[in-house]
Amino acid sequence: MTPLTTALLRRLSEAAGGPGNEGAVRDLIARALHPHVDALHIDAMGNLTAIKRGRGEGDLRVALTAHMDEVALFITEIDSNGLLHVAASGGVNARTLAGKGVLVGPEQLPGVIGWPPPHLQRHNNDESKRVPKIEDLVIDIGAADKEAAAARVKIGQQALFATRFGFLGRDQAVAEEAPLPQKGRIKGKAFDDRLGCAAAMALLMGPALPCDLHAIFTVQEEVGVRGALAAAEMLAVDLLLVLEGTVCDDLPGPVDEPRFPTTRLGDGPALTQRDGSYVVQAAVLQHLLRTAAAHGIPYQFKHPNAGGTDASGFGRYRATPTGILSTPCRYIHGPVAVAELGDFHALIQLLRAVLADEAALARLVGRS
Amino acid sequence: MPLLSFLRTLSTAHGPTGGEGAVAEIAAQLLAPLCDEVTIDPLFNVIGRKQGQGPEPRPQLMLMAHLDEVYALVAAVEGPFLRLTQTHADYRLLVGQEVIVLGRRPLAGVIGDRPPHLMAAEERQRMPRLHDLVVDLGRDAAEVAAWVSPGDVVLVDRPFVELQGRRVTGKALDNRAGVSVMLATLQHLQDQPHACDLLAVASVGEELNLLGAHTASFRLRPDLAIVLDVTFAEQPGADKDKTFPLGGGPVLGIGPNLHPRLGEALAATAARLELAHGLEPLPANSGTDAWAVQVAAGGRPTALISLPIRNMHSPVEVADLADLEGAARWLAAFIPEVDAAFLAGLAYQLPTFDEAPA
Amino acid sequence: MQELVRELSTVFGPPGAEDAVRERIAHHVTPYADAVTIDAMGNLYALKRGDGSGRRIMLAAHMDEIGVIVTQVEEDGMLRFSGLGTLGRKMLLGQRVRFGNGAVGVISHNGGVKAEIVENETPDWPKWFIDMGVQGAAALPVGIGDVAVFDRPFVSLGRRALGGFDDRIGCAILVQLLRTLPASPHDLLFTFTVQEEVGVRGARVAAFGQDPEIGIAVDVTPAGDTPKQLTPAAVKLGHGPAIKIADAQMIAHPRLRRALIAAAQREGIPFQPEVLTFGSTDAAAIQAARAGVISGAVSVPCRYVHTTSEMIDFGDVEHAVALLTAFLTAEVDW
Repeated sequence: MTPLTTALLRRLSEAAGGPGNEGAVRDLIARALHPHVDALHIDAMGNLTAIKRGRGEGDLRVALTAHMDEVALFITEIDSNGLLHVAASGGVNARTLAGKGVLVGPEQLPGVIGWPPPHLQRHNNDESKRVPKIEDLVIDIGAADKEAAAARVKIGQQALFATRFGFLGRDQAVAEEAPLPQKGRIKGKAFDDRLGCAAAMALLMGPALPCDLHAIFTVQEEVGVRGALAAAEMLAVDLLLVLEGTVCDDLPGPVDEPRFPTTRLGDGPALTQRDGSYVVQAAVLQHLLRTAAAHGIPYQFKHPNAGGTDASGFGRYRATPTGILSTPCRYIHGPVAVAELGDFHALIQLLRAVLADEAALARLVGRS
Repeated sequence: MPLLSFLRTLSTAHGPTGGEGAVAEIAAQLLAPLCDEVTIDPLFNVIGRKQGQGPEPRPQLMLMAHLDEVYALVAAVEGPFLRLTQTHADYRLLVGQEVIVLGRRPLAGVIGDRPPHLMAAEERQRMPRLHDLVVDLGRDAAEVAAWVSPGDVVLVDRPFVELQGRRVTGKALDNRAGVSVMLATLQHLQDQPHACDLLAVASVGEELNLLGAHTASFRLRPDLAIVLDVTFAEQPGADKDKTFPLGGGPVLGIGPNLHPRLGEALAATAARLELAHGLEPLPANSGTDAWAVQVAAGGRPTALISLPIRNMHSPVEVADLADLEGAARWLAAFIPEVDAAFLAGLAYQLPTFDEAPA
Repeated sequence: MQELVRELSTVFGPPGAEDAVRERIAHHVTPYADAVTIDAMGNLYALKRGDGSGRRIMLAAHMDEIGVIVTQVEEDGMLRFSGLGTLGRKMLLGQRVRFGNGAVGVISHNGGVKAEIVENETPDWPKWFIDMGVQGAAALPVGIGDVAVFDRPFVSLGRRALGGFDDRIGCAILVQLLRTLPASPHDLLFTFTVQEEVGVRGARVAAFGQDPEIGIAVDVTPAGDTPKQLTPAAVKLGHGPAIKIADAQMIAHPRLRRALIAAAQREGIPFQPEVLTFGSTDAAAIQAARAGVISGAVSVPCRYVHTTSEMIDFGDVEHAVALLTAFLTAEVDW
C-alpha cells in the first residue's frame, strides 16, 4: 500500500516550480515529509534534504535524489501593449507553445500564448512551416497597457503551463485522499521530475529501512544540474540513486523513418546504463538488475547515451557509486505529459527492495 | 583617485585570458591602499581583504570582477607574417586593426587587407575568414622567428579616450569597468563602517572557462557574492529586447543564476538612493562569473550588477562613467546593510508545520 | 618501448569500461610504485614518493578510447548504435568493431549497395548499423548497452606506427617514466584516468580527490603536417613532443609552460608549442579542481586522431619521456 495519495501527486504536478523558483514545490514536499522524517534542511541554493534514520545496526547511508524544478517560460519584457515577452528557462519544446494557457507569477495569473490567425499568415513561403521562435511569442494576460500589466507581473517571474493533473483512460472517479491507484495512465505537467520527487517521498513516508535514507530534492536541474553541482561537494553517502521522469517516444513514426524509442510506457521503470553525461558503474547496475529479477519486478533499459540527469552534477567532485532509475513519461518539456502508474509503482517497489537488503548493499559499496 | 583614472590605467594594461600576470600586478597595486591585505594566488586571481566591524562570525561578502580580456593567438609564423587562431573577439573587426603581439617582447603589428582593386566582385561582398588574416610586424623573417612563437598572444592596440559628455572608449572595458567599480566601491567604504568582511576579487579566465571564479570561490568560500560585469548597451543593429540605455544606470540581473532576495535587497537600496537602474532577465546562464560562483564549493547567494557598454568585445567599447559611478554608489550604500541577520534572511526556509516531527 | 605501446594500444577500453586497460597498467606499475590505488570511478593511481623537498605533481593519461554503444536491436539482428567520444561519421563505413566478449561486427548504413558505394552524403547517425553476421536478434552475442571499440591493430612502420594511440601512448609514456625515472624531489602521482573522451570526467574527480599542486596531462595532439590543412597548425610529426599553450577549454599556466620549455632547452630536447582550436585534455579538468591547480600538458603529435589508424612517431614518444624526466628531476622554482 503506497503512502502517496492522488491529492499529493496532483499537488506536486500542479505546483509551480521553474528553475530558481522552486519554493512552492519545496514547501509542499517539506510539509508532506515533516511528520515522517528525522531532519529537514535547506542549503544555500535551495536544495531540500530530508533524512530518515535507519533501524539497522550499520552506518550505511543511501541518498535518493530528484529535482524539484520544471522547464518554464521566463518573463523578459512587458511591452507597451501590456504583452509579456518570454525566454525559455530550460529546454521548453517551442513547437508546443502557441495557443496554450499559462499561469504567470506567484499570483498564478491566467494568460494565453497567442498566435496570429491562419488567414493572416503567409502560406507561400517557409514561414508557415517554421517553428515559432520563443522570442516571437507573447503571453496575453488581458492587460490593456504596460502599466496595467506591470501592476501584476514583474520581469523575471515565470509562466508555467496551466495544466491540471488527472487520469487518462479511466471511467471511474478517483478519490483524492485515497491511495494512488496501482495502474492506469496519468497526465499532467512537470512529471519530469515530480514523479521522481514523489517516488523518493513514498520511501520516506513508508516504514523505516535498515540504512539511513537521505533524500535530496534539488533545484535548477533543467538549466544545467545547478542544484546538484552545489550540493555535490558535501555529498557523503555510500550510494546515490537518481530518480527521474524520463523521455519516452514510443509512438509510431513515419514509415520511411524508423524510430527507436528511448523507453516504452508500461514496460516498467527504465534503468540507465549510461546517458549523455554519466556512466553508471557496472556493479550498481548489476545490483539493480539482480534485485529486480529476484523480486519479479519488470524493468527496461533506457536508450543509452540520451539525455542527462543530476548524476553528472553530483559526480563532479566525488566518485560516489550512483544508479539512475526513471519513470518513462511521454511528451515531457511540453504542456502535458503522460505516464503509467504501473511503471511508477514498480520503480518504488524496486527501490524498496534494494534498500531493504542491508547486507547486499554493504557488499555493493565495499562496506561489508 | 577618480574612477576615470582607475579605468584608464586598467584599460590599457595587458591581460589576456591565461596571461593575466601583468594586469594582476596593476590591480593589486590599485587595491592595496583600499584593503587590509592583498594577495595574488597561483592562477593570478587578485584577492583583497577588508575586515568589517561587525561581531564575529562576520559574513564574508565577495565582490568579483574579471580581469582578463579577449585576445587572439598566433597560430603559425609564416616567414615574416603571423597567422591567427582562437579569438573570442569578432575577428572581422581585426581587419585594418593595429595590434600588439606579446612575443618574447611586445611587438607592434598591423593586420591589413588586400587592395579592393585586385579583388573579384564576389570577394568584395564577403569578409575574410580568420585564417585569411595576416599580422604584419614590419620585420624580416629571421627577426620575427627570434621574437614570436605559435601560441603568443595578440591584443588590439587601442588607446583609452574620453568622448563627449561622460562617455569613454577603449579596449577591455569588458571588464576593467567592473574592476574599476569594485575599486571605487572600496574607496567609498574607507570612511564608512560595514559589518561584513569584504573579499574583493579580480578574477582570471572569465572569457574562456570561468577558471578564476570557480577556483577563487573554492579558496575563499564566501557566504554571499556580488559579481560585476558588463552588459549590452542600446545601439543600432542590437536587438532592443536585450540592451539597456547607455547612461541609464547600472543593471541588476534576475534569474535562476541569481538569488532572488539578494537581488530584491539591492533593488531596495537603489530605490532608497533614487538610483536609476535596469533589470536584466537571464533565464539560465548569465554568461558571467556568477554562473560559477553560485554553485562552487557548496554554493552561495549571488547577485550580478552589470554595466552597459556598446560594441562589446571590440577595440572600441564605449561606457558612460555615470553608470559606473552609480554602481559604486549603489554597492557602497548596500554593503553596510550586510550583517549576520541579513545573511540569515537570505537562507531558504522550511515552511511552518502543523504537526511535530516523528 | 615499442613493445609496451603495442601491448597497451590493443587492450579493450571504451569510456566507462576501462577495466582491462587498468589491469594491464596496474601489472606494469605495481613493482615500481610506493602505492597503487583505484577509486570508485575506476581511476588508477600509482604514487612515487619524492624526498620531501618537492611538490605534489599529478601526471595524467587517460585509459579510455573512442568506441560505440548499442542503442537498439532490430528484429533481423542489426544493431543501432551511437558514438562514445567524438567520432567522424565519414570514417565509419566498413569499419570493424570488437565487443568486450570478443564478438566482432562491421559497420554500414541504410540504403544498400548503391548507397554504400556511390552516395556522396554522409548519412545521419540513426541510419548507421552494425552487422554481427547473425540471422535474427535471438542469435546475437551482444545487446543494448554493450560497448565496443574499433578494431585497431598495431602496425609498425619502422620509426612510426599505426594503431589506436589516443591515449594509450600517454599511458605508455607514464609507465615508462615510472620505470626509468631517476630520483625526483617531487611526490609524483601517476594517474590513469577514465572517461576522458566523454567529458574529462575521471580526471575531474581524480584532481578533486588528490588535490595536487601541479597537473600535467600527457595525451596526443592532432598534427598539422598533412596536405592542405584548413587551418594553420604548427605541430609536425617527428619534430618533438608538443608543449601545450592553449586549447579550446584551457590555457596552460605560463609558469609551467616556461619550466617545461626551459627543461627541454637545458637538455637539448626538441619540442613544439601547441595551440589547438578544438578539443582538450584531462588538464582542463585538473586546472579547475578546488582552488585551482597549475596545469599544462605534454602532447605527442598524432595524425588522423580518432580514426582507426592513428599515426605517431616514436622519436616524439621518446623525447616526451626525456622532456618529462628533465622536468620532474629538477626543482620547481616558483
